[in-house]
Amino acid sequence: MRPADYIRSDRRGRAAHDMEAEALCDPLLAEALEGFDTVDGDHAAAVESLRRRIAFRTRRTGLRPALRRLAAIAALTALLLTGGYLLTHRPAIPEAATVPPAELLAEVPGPAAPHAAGPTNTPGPPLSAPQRHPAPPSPTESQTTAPEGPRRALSDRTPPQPSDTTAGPVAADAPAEDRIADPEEAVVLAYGTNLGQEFVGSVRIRESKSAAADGEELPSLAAERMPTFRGGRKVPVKFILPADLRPQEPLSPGRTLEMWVRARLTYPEPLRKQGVAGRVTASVTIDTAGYVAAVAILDSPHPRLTRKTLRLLRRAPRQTPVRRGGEAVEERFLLTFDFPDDR
Amino acid sequence: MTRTDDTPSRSDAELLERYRTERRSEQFAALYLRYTELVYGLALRYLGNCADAEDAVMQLFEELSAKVLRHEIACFRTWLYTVARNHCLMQLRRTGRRRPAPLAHDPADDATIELLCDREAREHRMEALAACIERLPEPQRRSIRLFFFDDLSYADIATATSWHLKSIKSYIQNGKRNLRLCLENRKR
Repeated sequence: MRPADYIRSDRRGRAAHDMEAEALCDPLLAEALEGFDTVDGDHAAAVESLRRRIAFRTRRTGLRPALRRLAAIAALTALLLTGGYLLTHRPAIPEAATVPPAELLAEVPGPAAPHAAGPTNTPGPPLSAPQRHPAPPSPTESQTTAPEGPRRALSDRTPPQPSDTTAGPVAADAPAEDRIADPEEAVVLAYGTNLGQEFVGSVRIRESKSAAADGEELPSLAAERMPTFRGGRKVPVKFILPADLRPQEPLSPGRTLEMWVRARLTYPEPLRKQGVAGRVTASVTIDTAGYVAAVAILDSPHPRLTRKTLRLLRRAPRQTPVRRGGEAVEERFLLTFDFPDDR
Repeated sequence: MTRTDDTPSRSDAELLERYRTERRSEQFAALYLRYTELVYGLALRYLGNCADAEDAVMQLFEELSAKVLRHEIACFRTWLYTVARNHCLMQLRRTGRRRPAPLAHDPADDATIELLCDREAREHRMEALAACIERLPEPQRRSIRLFFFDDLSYADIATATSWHLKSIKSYIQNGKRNLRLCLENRKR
């Protein structure tokens, strides 16, 4: 007899007695029986779900330990070689072309850009050099042309940038002097270049935060992907985007899971070079506790992309489960991941 | 060549040794799955709700798969009980919740339980045991006899005596302790 069977049964007869006698000598069993007794719930289903999840987490990906070690050594060697190459072949940045970061900050237009009336994920217009409106240099800014001045001035004026450069631009509070009077104006702290080159592409808004009525909180938004800049080292720059700051409907667990995976899914360079492109379609079941209970890849352009997607989906964090009539229910979602991801 | 799965027939120690040698996570999972139900029940008792208990089971699985490689483990079951219990107590401390009242389990009573459960051992000391049982208060004497000698479950005893289930557990616990003291006194 298993503990859960004992809990569900009428606890009569020899089998129940044996379980109780065993619990007298085994504190783990005694405490477990006490736990099942004191908390209501479908414990048999919960245990079954836990067993499935443990088995699911340990499902082998097909690589044997020796092969895994070999792959790790190869990856490390490639990393070292790339690092060494970059160190020895670092492109020299012409001093004359360097635009002081403080000047970039000064290029933020004073009045807000026109607000978009469309949905939040409408791509904002790319900011290009001709669109910028340089502000007249203030006495402080004129001092920043000194060799060490600009960087210090920038770091003084901008919040610390996140260490994970693979993440998208992050919304950040601006210092008091940078605050904007219009509460609907949106500011993004993104990664740009200190060469003052043209910003390429557009950012789509992932989340937005409205300003408080008293103007204490800066309106901000986070873009879905990191915008691309041409060349140069990456430093934080600030620019203004038109944004729709209307409250949004909460996303389904399938969509939040899709975004979580998409943020971590990289397009392997060899496949890009080979021209392997297409869409990975995955069927994912999220159980009543919010965990990924089952994954099936329905379509994929390449086995490597299948493995990468599977690995991430299996490691996904707990989501908010779907609720119907106040009760959490198991739900299946179809998720798609494009290579290359143009969304 | 196909490999037959002999996991169910292997002991905990064998599974643990195999995991330490080959370090494949599914080998540790095979061992942990034997105790998933008990760890979940234990977590329920300490944490008091299903969601926290489920999280604890999964966190322990992740943590222990690394810990078992570093620790000397004589008996996996006992070690797991200690580690899982400590994990739950840490969770309670972190969230500022109170721990539940301890169960009435006295390790010193283990010898008495063995004596009561094992018929052969009982025959050897029947005279002393019978004399000590006679000296127990009525509810303790009756509960001990019905549970250990007539092999009735708590629920069966409750039906037979009309006593409350919790009272019966308490009578048996107290009866065991009194029996141990009585038997020790008779040895001297």
